[in-house]
Amino acid sequence: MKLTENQLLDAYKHMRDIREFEERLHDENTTGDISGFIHLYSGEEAVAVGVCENLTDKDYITSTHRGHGHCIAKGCDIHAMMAEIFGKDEGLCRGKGGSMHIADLDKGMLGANGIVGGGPPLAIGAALTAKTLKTGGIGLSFTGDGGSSHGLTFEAMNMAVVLQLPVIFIFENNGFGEGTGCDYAVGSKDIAGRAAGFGMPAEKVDGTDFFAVYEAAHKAIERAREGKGPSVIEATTNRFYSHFEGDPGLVRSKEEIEYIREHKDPLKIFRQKVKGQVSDEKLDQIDKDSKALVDDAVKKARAAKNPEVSQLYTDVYVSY
Amino acid sequence: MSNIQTLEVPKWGLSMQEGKITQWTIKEGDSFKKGQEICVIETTKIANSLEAPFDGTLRRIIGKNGSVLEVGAIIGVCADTSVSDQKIEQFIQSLSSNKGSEPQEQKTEAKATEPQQTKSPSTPTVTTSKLDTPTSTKPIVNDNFLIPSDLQGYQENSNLFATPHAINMAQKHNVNLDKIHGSGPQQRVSINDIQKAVIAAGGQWPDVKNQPAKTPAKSTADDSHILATPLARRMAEEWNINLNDCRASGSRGRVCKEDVEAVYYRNHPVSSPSLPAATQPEPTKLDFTAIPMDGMRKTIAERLQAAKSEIPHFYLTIDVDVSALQELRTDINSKLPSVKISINDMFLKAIASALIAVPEVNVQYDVENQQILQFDQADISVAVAIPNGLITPIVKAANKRALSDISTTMRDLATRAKTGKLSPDEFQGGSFCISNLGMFGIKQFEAIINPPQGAILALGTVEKRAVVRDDVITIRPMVTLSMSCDHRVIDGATGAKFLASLKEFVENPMAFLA
Amino acid sequence: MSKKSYRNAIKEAIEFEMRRDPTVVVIGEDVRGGHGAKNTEENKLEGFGGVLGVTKGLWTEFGSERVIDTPITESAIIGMTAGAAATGLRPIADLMFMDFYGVCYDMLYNQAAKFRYMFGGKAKAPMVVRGMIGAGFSAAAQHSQSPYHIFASTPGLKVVVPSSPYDAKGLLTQSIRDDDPVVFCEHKLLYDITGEVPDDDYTIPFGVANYTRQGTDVTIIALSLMVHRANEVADKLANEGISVEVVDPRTISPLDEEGILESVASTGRVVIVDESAARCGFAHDVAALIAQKGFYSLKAPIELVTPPHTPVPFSNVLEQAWLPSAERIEIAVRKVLEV
Repeated sequence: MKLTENQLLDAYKHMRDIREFEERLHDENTTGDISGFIHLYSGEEAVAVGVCENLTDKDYITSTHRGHGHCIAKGCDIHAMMAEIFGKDEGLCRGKGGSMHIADLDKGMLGANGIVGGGPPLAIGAALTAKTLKTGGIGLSFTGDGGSSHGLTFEAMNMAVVLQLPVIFIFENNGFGEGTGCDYAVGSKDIAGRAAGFGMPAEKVDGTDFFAVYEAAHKAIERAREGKGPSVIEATTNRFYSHFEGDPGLVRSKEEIEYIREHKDPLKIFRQKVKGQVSDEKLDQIDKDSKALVDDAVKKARAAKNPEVSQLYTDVYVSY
Repeated sequence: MSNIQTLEVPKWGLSMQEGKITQWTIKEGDSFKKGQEICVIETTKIANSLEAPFDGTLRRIIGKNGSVLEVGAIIGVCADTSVSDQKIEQFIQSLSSNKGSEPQEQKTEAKATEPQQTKSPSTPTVTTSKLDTPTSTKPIVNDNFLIPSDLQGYQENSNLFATPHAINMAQKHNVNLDKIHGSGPQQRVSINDIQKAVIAAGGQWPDVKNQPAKTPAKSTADDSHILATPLARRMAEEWNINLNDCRASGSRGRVCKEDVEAVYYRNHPVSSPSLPAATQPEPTKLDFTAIPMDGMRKTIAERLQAAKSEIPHFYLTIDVDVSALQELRTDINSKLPSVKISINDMFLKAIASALIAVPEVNVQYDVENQQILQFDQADISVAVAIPNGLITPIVKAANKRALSDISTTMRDLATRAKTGKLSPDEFQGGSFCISNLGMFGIKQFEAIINPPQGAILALGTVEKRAVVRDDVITIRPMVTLSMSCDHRVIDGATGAKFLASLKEFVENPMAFLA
Repeated sequence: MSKKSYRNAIKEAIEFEMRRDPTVVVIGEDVRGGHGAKNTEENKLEGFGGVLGVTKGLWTEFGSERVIDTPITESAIIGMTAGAAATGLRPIADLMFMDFYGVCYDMLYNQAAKFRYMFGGKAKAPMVVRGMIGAGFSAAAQHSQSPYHIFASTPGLKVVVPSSPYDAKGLLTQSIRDDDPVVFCEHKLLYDITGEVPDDDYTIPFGVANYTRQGTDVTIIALSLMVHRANEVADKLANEGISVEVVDPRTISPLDEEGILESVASTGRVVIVDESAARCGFAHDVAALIAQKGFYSLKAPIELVTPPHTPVPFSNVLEQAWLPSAERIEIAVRKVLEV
């Protein structure tokens, strides 16, 4: 599948924004100015972006606790995201959600989710809306290899097949559910293979290769839009950091991580693949822009106002 | 108007509709205190005194003696002397102007002559029919309610959304609900909303919800099924307290003695909490006598509680054969008529010798300076029972004294201890302590250390026991010794070494005579 | 206005709203019943229509697209409902028995209830979760509970517990039109009671208590089935000259504090009857409210009539002993009246 230069630049921009965002958070987190848990998406960019480049605002995605990448790929505002993570009033959720609950329904981002396995049931709900109201949209859940074994996920997969909903279940297999290996916790050792049991097609792709993800997602999404039902994509990938920031990260050796950063970096792989098609200068310019963007986002987030205490009581109900 | 207050016929019990004023106990112009009995009111069931609900000065009696008034009717007007008579008069006028054509005065006089009263319709309650007709611009005062004229005019068929009680109150006090802003769901008007509007418009609306009840309720319901301790039930019966009125703070959710007492004191407030006076029904005779703790008792209690809870006690027990000791005693007592040595005296001597042999036990713990004070001589405290307590006179330098000396010293100390004639230096200090309960037949016991001493030895009775000597069971006079040690200053082996040494001295008494 | 059953009143509310608003759908196990069965499919028959027949007839009018039979997977039912509600539908999920909240509560209380708050006011989840509550059906421990107090303790959820056909229709209509997630608790012993219900659609606002009896001597606060038992006691005691006020809060989140406190202020004596729990239940919440905000109105200690702290038993004899009875309510009323 041939992508235009603009499409390629757009994809690279999103991936680079994610990388900058996460690398910067890794540093900022050590200043002690960010409360709560931070789970970084570095290393997995090609999955979120490879999928979301196929989506529009009328398509809804659900995400996980490791959700910054999905938010950026789906078009959430980076300044507002950063302010949210700093707990500020200008945050995307006015400082009430934080890293694990960033959402922007206008962009079709139905929320990062603190509950492992929490996304798939909500994604089939979005798909039900699309199907019932014939919006032409789809629902799509990003779930990790950990969440792939969750009962909520199984129930949602079965329901999606029963009701023939336009929904895609993306399983990002980064090898670890928190600190437990996927080979240990996934009984069949084959997430994609489970789809057959539910009666839907599945594809397993290299999640470090933007193009592989893009093509598989394209196929599944078009299929769903045509009313042909749900499907599964398992994308194998790697997280550069540990489960959460501050986690000692004993599950992998230094050498392992160095190898991953050198040979499994989706951004490096992308640049190699577009050699000759997109000039280095243009890509370098994106790198610079991303850095400046995230830099500015951090500066503004730090300077932003905290929420008023009165905000504590608002937004519980539409009316009460 | 706000400093004018009214007294009303109270509602005593569910069924009370009206009351007869039988006797004012204060007169116009008198000041009274909250809680003071100011007049007697009779109901169909009882005659009771009305307690003043506030401090004040009675300016005008409205409910004259003999008048029968509905519950809530105003019987008196109160205000302090700064309020002029004219103001009071105006206030009373405003009351009667809202009462239609029946001035209360007439009513009460008529009633006074009539022994068999019928229910008086005369109340300050404003009925809607009377108020609908005149376009009165006077504020309506009803008890402590004062509805500004522009909020007046209850309308029966108002379509307004209001709580049932707001509608009732609006009707009762002639409030136009259309003029009240409702703060509830879908602008529903509540009593609170009416109150706010009335007050905002300069009127009065009492905050009934925030006034404590005048007297706690008394139950008359059957309390036989209420779980209670037998004592509590008996007390409740004698004091005429219904168990329904008691908290159940006892075990297994039962009403206990304290709960009944709490109700009693609530009903009979007294300055010092003592049991009911003679006029009250006699409380249950309790089967104990309360003995006040005197100074010595309190000191013993405090010291021993501290000793037992702070000192890490450990205990060592050993049996000793006292046949040699007894023989020696008989020998000495028969040969020296001037002395009468007891077994206890001989033990004292043996202990003194052992303390010198094992000085690590002859110690005090100096907590403040974190050091152990080891003594050169054996100052042995001996616990002596005295009326209402005990005291520990000290046989000083027992190791240096002859048996006869120990004997006479001990006898002298014990005698003076029992008559309270010891000087402080005779019972303060000591490097070791003994306590002997053998005379009561006690076989063995563990004593509490008397700080700062490091140990105490408890002596049991002399008792013939079957013991094994050279693989033969034989009868020997035996005593069991238990030593309590403070582990902070004496270790197990040290204590054991001392007891072994003591056993040696007791069983071979010639050694300590040497 | 005509006499209708509680069951029909509920169905009417759903039917009206489905006609009025194309985004209203019904989701649940057997809401039609009969999908995938030869007889019902070939003959286009209604099936169960909900396990006790409440939604029977809807499928014929609205079809499988809006009357959505699902597998027996409550998490997916409630999760899909929440996701659909956040993205543009107004779904009504049928949980069948409220006892089943245990297998799907995450989707209700961690997801739907919190969307709006977590997302800074940018989301809403206009959904209704219907379900049966209540003992008295010999349905035993897992199909007889009334866990509305659990829902009411979750901020973000509204909780409706109707006691009459009139209330059921008006409150369900309001629930469907409401923009917040609503848990709608139907007592299974009430489905066949009848009462006057307007033929047109109407709503009853949340947080407005209904006084089913007005009186001056004592207030009974009760919900759902217990309102009927309280009314029974009120009518009986009226013959003795005891005037009982029965307050039915109808919704417990939001709760009509004013409506409760005004009644308490006027009578000074309170009995709270509650089928939810012996500990930490609705009765205890209301008792705390009264103790805090209406203490000085009280003339006697508050009495609570609740089930014991046990699961719901199966045997009819045991179950009748478990449920708060009119006799127990009467004893409590006499106790607070001290007569």
